Amino acid sequence: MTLDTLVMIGITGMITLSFGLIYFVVFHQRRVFKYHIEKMKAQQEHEQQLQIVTQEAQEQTMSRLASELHDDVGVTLSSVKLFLSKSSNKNPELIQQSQQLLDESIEKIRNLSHQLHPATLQHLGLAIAIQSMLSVIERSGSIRTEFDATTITEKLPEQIELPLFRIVQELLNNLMKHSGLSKISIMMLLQQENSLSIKINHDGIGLDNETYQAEILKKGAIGLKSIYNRLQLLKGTINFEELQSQDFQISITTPLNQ
Amino acid sequence: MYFSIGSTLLPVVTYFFTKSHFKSSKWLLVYLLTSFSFELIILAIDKKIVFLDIRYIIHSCLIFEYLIVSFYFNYQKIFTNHFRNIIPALAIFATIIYLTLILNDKFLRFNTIGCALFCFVIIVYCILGFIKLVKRDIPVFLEQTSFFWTICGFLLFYSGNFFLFIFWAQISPSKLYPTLWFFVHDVLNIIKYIFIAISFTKKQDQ
Repeated sequence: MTLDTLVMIGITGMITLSFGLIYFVVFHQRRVFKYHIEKMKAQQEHEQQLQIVTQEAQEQTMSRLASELHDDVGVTLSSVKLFLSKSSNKNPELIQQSQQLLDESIEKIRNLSHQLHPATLQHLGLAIAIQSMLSVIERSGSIRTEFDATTITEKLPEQIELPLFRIVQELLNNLMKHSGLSKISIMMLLQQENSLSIKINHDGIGLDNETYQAEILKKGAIGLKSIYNRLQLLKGTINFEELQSQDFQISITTPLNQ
Repeated sequence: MYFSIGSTLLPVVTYFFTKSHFKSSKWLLVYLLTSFSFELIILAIDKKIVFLDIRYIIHSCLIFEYLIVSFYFNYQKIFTNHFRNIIPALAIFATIIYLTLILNDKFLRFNTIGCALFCFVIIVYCILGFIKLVKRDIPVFLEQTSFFWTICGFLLFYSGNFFLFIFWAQISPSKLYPTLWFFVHDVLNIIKYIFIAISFTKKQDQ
């Protein structure tokens, strides 16, 4: 074998080795990538399961607390009120004040109990529950409200009603606290592709999508994080935008067949 | 040969046509311009257009080209901690050996053993680059990264030329030599420049 042939074999060998190395690296990296994606998916699924369990536990606790407040503390306070009304009239003014305080406490407990576990939602559905929430806001006197859910004729599936109610409740709470709004309107729309859309329009100071994304990554912002988590579970989306009328709109869309 | 020299311009043109560049890409551009000038000078001397002492030009251009490639690799973000020290150490070591070789040879001719040494060191850089790319904490699609294409080009070119330089003295008188030079040096040179041009089009650094 001549030296020329040996050199040719050597060169061919080196080039083949280089190609082999490149192929190995690309192939290996693809495998690592696939493994990484599968690991992330498994992690996400696990986190989602954990979230479902946590939220179910949370809802159960809230429901128990609500019934305790309504059935036990509420009844006790009503009994005290009754006893006070039948007591001797040595100091009528004091008794009247006590009765007033008791009325306030009973009202507060009832509201709290409704917030923790809305019976309206359970019995009459999401649309009525949201409408009832808006009527409570309207009663405060400083905010005008509008509600439209004409396309919702049937009760929605239970597994989406409660998370959606909590999302709307959290958004309304945030709007009342931070936006300084004077009017709010909610429109619920059943879309053809078997999804539900809830549009909340308000004239206060609104968020944009970038701020929302930034907030959920920050520490704190528990309310927004809970909205994000619930939407993840529902496979839904949320969009914040400023309209031409300078009002802000929050659109929530979620599929109905979970 | 003319194709091989002309192909240097492909990545240069690509560089100026792509808008976003990484800092390390500038070293590649300097490398390309040096290679292009180097090839033009050699061509001019070969065609007897200019009469210059070829030895000084070859030696200085080779060292310069080699050091630029070392700078390019040293500039990569993935070479951290002890990896970052390996590249300057190898660069200095290979340059000293090359200078020792040409001084002992009294600058008389093209020092192919020194060239083979440079090829070997660049192959080591490429392997280190691959190791670091593969061992990243967050995996990425390698084909989408700029660095991957550059090291593929360098690896193919320098590993092909390694044997050619080692046995240059023995095979250069042979009739097969021009064909071998064309297929190994020129074709791989064109492939290298195509890969570098692709690397300039990639938006992701490593």
